[in-house]
Amino acid sequence: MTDRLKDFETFILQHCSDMPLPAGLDTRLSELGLDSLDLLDLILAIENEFNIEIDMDGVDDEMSLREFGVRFLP
Amino acid sequence: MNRQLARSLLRAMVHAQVRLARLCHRSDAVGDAVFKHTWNTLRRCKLATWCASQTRRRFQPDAAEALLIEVLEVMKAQGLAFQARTHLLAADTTMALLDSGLAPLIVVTSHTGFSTTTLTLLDKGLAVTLVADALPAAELTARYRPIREQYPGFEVVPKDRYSLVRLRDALRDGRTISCAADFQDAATKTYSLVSPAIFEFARRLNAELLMSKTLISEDGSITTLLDGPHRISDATASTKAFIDFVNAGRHPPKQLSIGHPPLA
Repeated sequence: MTDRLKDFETFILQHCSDMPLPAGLDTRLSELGLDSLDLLDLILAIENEFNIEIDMDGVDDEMSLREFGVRFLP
Repeated sequence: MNRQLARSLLRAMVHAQVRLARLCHRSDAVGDAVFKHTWNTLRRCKLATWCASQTRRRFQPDAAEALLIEVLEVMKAQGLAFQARTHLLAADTTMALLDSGLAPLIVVTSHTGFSTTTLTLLDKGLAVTLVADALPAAELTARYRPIREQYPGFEVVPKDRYSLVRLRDALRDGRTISCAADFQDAATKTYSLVSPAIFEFARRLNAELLMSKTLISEDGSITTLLDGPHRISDATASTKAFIDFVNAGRHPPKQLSIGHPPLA
C-alpha cells in the first residue's frame, strides 16, 4: 500500500468512525449507508484533505473505498 | 363520479373540441387556432373544469393546469404541432442574473412546473442540469433525448445517493441546476412531500437559489415565476418558505409538507 493510500485509509477511518466499514478499505460505497448529503460531505472532506478535485463520472455503488482512493489520489 | 370516469369524460370532450376546431381552422397556423378554440371553449365549461380538477391528483395540479396538460396531450396525439406560449416573470435583478449567464444557480420548483421552468432556462441560453427520477439509464436517455437534441447544453442527473455530488460538479462547471423538490409520498402516492436536501445543498455550497413555479393564464399561456435569488441559512425554514411560495394565490393550495426521501 502506498503512503498516499495509507493516509487515505487513516482519514477514512477517522472521518467514517460512526459508519459501518465491514471490510475496511474494501467496503463498497453502497455499504456505507450514506445519503446524498453525507456523501457530499465525505467527498468535500476528501477533496480538502488531499487537495484534489473528484469527478464523479464512473463512480457507482460497486466501487470500493480502495478503488476510489487509487483512482483519485495522485 | 369517480376519477377514472372524469378523466375519460374530459378526454372525450377535449378530443371532440379539437376535432371540431380542426374542421373550422385550416390555415397554416392550425395548431395555434385549434388550441385557442379548444382552450377557450373548455376553460369556460364547468363540467370540463370540474373533470380536470379530478384528474392527475398525483401531482396536485389545479384545474387549469390539468386541462392544459390534457389539451396538449390530445393535440399531440392528433398530430397537431403546437407549443404553449410561455412567459418569464422575475425581478429585474433576477433577469440580469439569468442574462449574465455567469452565476451558477439552483432553481427549485415542483412537479407541476419543472418541465416549463427547465425549458425557460434553456431558452435563456443557460447550460442546465436537470435532476430527474432515477430510471434505468436507457429509459432516462430515451425520455430526455428530444430536449438534449434541441439544447446541447442540457444534462440530466438521476436522483440517487450520488446526485448532490454530481450537482456540485455541475455548479463548479458554471451550470444551472433545475430541481423539483417535491417527491411522492409512498402512502398516498401523491407528490405531497418536499425534501429540504436541495436547500441544505445550497446552504453548504453557499450557492444562490431561485424558487420557481408556473401559472396558467386565462389564454392558456404559461408564466414561469421566479423568486430570488436566495442565500440559504436554514434549510428547513427555506423549505417552508418554498411551500408558501408554491401555494401563494393557489386555490386550492397543494397539500405539501416537509419530508425526507428514503435512502436510495
